[in-house]
Amino acid sequence: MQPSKRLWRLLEIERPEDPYYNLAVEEAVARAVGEGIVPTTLRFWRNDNAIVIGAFQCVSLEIRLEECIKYGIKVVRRFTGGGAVYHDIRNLNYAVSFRRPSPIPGDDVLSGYRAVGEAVIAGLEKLGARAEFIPVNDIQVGGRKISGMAGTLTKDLLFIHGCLLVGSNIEILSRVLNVPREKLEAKGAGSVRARVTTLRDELNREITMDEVKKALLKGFEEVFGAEFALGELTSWEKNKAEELYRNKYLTIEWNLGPCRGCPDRGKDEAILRRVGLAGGD
Amino acid sequence: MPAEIRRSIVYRSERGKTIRLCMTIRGNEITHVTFTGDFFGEPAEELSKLGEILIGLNAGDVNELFRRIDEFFNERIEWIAGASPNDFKQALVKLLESFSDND
Repeated sequence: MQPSKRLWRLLEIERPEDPYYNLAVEEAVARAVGEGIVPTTLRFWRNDNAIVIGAFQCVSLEIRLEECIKYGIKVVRRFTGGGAVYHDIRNLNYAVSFRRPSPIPGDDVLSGYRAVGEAVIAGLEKLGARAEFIPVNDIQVGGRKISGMAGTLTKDLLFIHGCLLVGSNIEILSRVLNVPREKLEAKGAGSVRARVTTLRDELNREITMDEVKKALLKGFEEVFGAEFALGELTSWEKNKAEELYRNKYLTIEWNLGPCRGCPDRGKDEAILRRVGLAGGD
Repeated sequence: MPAEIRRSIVYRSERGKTIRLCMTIRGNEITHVTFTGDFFGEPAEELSKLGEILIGLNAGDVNELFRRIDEFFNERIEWIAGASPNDFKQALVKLLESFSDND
């Protein structure tokens, strides 16, 4: 007899043009899983032309304003730590929410990066890309980063999400993110361009998002013994997402993050307004 | 009244994460500090307030600054990954050295 599989919900809810809404849904789904309202959930989604900065990062230090304005890039802060990432429509985001205790041995964020990373790596393998997990939270192919993860842990929730560079515009990515020289040197790279790669470049062919999603699903099935049922947001999640969208992700206060009390707060606020924050506060 | 002096540094944690530290002092008094970076931790709202606990303290009293950082992590932070309390202390030392190097 086959061991019973774990039934996970699969979501493909996205508004690529509205990164603030996408992040609101991300948090609403995670909270719903933590509350036990919905089962373990894997979400695939995309932003089109946005920078998502980590919970503890400074806007003006992490992005290049003039380049963001030039390319019409919006900036939003996520609820997890980690580094700033550039998302275009050829980048695929994956997010897994586990109610604790999770099935991951260790049941913490670092174990989560490794386990979710293994699933993504298994999926990439099916597409012909040999990837490896690089602690703390990276996935690399041929020594170049193709995916980075971030996550959080609360009493009831283990949440891990990441972005996968399927065919993103690396030229724009390297122009809009202000990666410190110290970080590039530590990674042995002279530039952002030299440090990252895309699935398209590694496979040397165009690849559709559907192909990538199917491969990743197989990876998650293998690593977690999961079986997927395509689902929708519940009413609770829709209401929570709307609330978070209006009262959190659209606000200057949230997007300023740890720089709320900074003498340069005005500079960061101006950046956020100029790069498209509609404002809700 | 002494002029305010501002410095910022980038520090790499032992686990390979980046801590950016910005500080303003007037005389020896810390008037503003922010620790930002790509580390992880919870509660996020609390962790983003790390700098606030150092405001008003004497920048020359490193032992007291360290004691406050230890107290902050022991009492207010549930977990941190990618950087440790010691990394934040070492970042602080690097920044304080930059004040004496340049003044």
